[in-house]
Amino acid sequence: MSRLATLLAPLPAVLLLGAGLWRAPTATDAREDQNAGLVLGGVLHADGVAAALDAVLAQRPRVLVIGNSNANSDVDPVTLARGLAVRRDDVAVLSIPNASAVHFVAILRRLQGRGWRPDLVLVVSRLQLVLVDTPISEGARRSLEALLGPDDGDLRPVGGRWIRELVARREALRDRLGAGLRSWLPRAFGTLRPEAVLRRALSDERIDPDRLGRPAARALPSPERSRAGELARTARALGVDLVVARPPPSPLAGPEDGDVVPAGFPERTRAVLEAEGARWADLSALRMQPHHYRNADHLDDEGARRLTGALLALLRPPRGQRLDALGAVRFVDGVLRRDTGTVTWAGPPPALPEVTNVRFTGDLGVLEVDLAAPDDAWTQQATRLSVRCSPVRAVMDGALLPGAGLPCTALRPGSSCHRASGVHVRAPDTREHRWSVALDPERSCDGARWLYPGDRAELRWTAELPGARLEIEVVARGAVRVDAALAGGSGGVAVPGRTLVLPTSAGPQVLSLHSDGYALVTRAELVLP
Amino acid sequence: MTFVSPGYPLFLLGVVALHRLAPAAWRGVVLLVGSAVFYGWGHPGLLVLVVAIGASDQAIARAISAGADRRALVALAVGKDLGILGLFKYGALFAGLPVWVPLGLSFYALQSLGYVLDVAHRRVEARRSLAEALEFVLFFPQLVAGPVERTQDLAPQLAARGVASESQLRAGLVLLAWGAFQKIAVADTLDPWVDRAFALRDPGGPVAWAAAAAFMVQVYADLSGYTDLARGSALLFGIRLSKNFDAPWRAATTPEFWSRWHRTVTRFVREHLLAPLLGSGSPTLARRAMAVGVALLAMGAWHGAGWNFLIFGLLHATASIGYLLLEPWSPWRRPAWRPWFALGHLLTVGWLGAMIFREPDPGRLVAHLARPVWSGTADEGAAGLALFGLAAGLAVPLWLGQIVADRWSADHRAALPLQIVAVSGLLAACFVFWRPTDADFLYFQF
Repeated sequence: MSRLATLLAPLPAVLLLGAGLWRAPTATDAREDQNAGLVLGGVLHADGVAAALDAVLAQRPRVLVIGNSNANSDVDPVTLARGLAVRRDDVAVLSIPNASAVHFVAILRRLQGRGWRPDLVLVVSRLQLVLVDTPISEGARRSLEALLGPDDGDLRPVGGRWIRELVARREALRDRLGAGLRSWLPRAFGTLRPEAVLRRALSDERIDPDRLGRPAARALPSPERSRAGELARTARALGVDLVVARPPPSPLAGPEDGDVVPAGFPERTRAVLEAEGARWADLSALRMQPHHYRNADHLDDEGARRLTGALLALLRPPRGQRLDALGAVRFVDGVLRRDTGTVTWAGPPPALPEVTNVRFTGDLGVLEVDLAAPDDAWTQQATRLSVRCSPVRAVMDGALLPGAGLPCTALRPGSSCHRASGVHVRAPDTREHRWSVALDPERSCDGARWLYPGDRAELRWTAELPGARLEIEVVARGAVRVDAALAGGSGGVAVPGRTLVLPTSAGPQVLSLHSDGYALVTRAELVLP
Repeated sequence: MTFVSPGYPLFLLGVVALHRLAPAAWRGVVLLVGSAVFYGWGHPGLLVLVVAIGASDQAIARAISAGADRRALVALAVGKDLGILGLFKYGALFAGLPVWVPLGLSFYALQSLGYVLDVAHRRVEARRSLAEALEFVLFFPQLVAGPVERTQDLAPQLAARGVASESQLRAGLVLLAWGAFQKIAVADTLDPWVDRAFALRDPGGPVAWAAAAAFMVQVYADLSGYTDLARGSALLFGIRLSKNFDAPWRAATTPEFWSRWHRTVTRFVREHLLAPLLGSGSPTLARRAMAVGVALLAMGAWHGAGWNFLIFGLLHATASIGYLLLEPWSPWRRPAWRPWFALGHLLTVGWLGAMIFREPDPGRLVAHLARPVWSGTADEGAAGLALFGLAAGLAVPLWLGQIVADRWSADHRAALPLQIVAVSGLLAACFVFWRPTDADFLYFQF
């Protein structure tokens, strides 16, 4: 008896531990539980996700975007519709919070027997969620249950509900404990958002990937054993063009939160998808900035336009050979690559006027100067990937500071941005410095190249086939004349908003460009006959 | 297979059950086969080297016992085992061989060599059979990353063919839970942050030094966790392995640190390298300084072909010699001063050593050392504090665990309810913190 009492004595403490774990849901969990099975496309539908889905499909959209909440935040339907030359109403976003591969398959199965099919189904999802074979939260399970029909028993998750809840609870508790452990000391010293500061200090762009050791990876089924193949087979059976797109990693996500998968999984997933006729678009190489995100995981409107623009390079690939000299975005074997070719310039950039006034508060300052060069706001509107890439740079003590590519409110130490009010800088320290402004000698703007007033540039390439034509597009603020001439061949004037077409022959080619103002060459493309 | 493989609990349970059910005469076979399955799981080719080393050392030990030329045979064993170790560890540096060290080689080569040396010094008799010798070298709880056991400590326990008592089973389970907690909740939680901080192109003073402090906690939790998992696993078979750590950060001096840190490897070096260098009688101060310096440089070099390991050894050798010179006064022995000396040692040799040990690139190491901990931007300062806070927060349970271990006898029957609560709590913490990871134990790379 005393032995039994000894064994039972600690039971209350053990039960207390279990209860503590059980009662560890976050506010996010509670909200997800409350809305489970009701959210589609980021909108709450009182009659449930299945009815809402059927209502959308009854409209016969030509393009379906499916995925978890990233499908809702990371794709801009307007940019996508414009790029695919369809109406905005033809693009339907069917995102479900925390959706994974089983949801994607269930949505595709609901297309069966409708006597109609979309032209394109675009799955936007972390690779982890394409591979994981069960719902990742209780809310996601309930959403799945709502989608399943009588013949979808194979998609129904196995295992008791309490086990799944326990797993979800432990992850929530782990994240909260981790955040608490990382935050208590900086908070004690007055740091307001220590997690954001830490992630910024350890962000991807500051990391040398060759030095990174072994990343933590979820326990995932291999691509061959996952539902990726079934997803592609279902699309093929429906006669639907399926593209699975993996968004780039968020620079705001910590090392524990990224889309980390074992080595080789992306390539094997692509092979599985392509074996069934689907396409794979790995956007991991797309460089995103922290300001492109509305929170750690989801892009804002600007970020979504940028990602969609890159994705269109795969969905609507260039019609011919692309000139490397422009640093184009393109997909090779389903993976986004950035070509950074060479272009030669006849001379240094022209000088800019003197700075008329310098105002500093702490390490933040504004260099006032009268400039004709386009500012960051203009380049955001003018470029396909919505980048801030004014050619104007601040010069500190004779050294050019890099352009931040960020809003002026989010400058890092030692960088600059360009607004109508002047060139804003954040000094690396609060000491006195000499300040001036200059034009970026690299002249690069993501996938485009600047031409400055009086610039002469030469682009060289080898045309692989005869009879191709060269198409050149430039954008500029105001009236700018860009003369283009092929060596030993034709020439013309590139006018902003119109495409200049020059016939070419096979073999080595040299294109000379001359501009009388600030112009951005956004496209120089060989189009095959 | 490793202790954090998902299948390990089942494997351990199965082998323990077989070991208890088997007749005494067969228990050695159960352990030998179990060890071979554990080590060869997924990579059976690895068994060839460990069996070759164990079998050749057994042949040498038998020959020594039979009266053959002791000096020549000892030289042969030392040359063979250290040669193999050097080939894999330094082959890349000197012979352009691919960088690959078979799992556990650094540990089982020392243990097997120690067996020959123990026989040569007549501390033990040679094992009667090859199976007995291999059982000693291959015993799976300590095969991969120690503790490196002396023959006279482990071999008699294996030969006794006993099973675990109830108190040993209970203590074994507590050690298993504690070891898993250290590895999963502490070391693996720190791992991605430390890894990322050391991968920064230009980390700034606060982040670099905070990452070094976090690494200090991580490497201790990782290796101490592994050792406790090993000790706990062995206790389930009724076998006590040596305690490998004894609150090393409480050490007031560098020599004391090495008597508390990785004690079994230190003991091997002390018995088989330091003692011969000191010779018999009363060595002079110069000779003692030379012997300590060589021994600690060898400890550094044992970790692998990296400048950082040699510099780490040099730092500890220099510090140890410094303490040796101060020994006539020994101010750290005064109880009132001791905590301050321990703190000083932690903040100098401990912290600096962690930075040197973790950073393999000499150029970057110099850059880190040139940056004071307070230099850097406001963001870097806050990020450094966050890493410090994470490391300090995770060090608290390690510190509490040490206090409990100091005061609590695992064999005490009244401790059963506490043991149940402790194991439940530790396993619950492991459940919460566990994340599937490719990260092995840090010491598997050495």
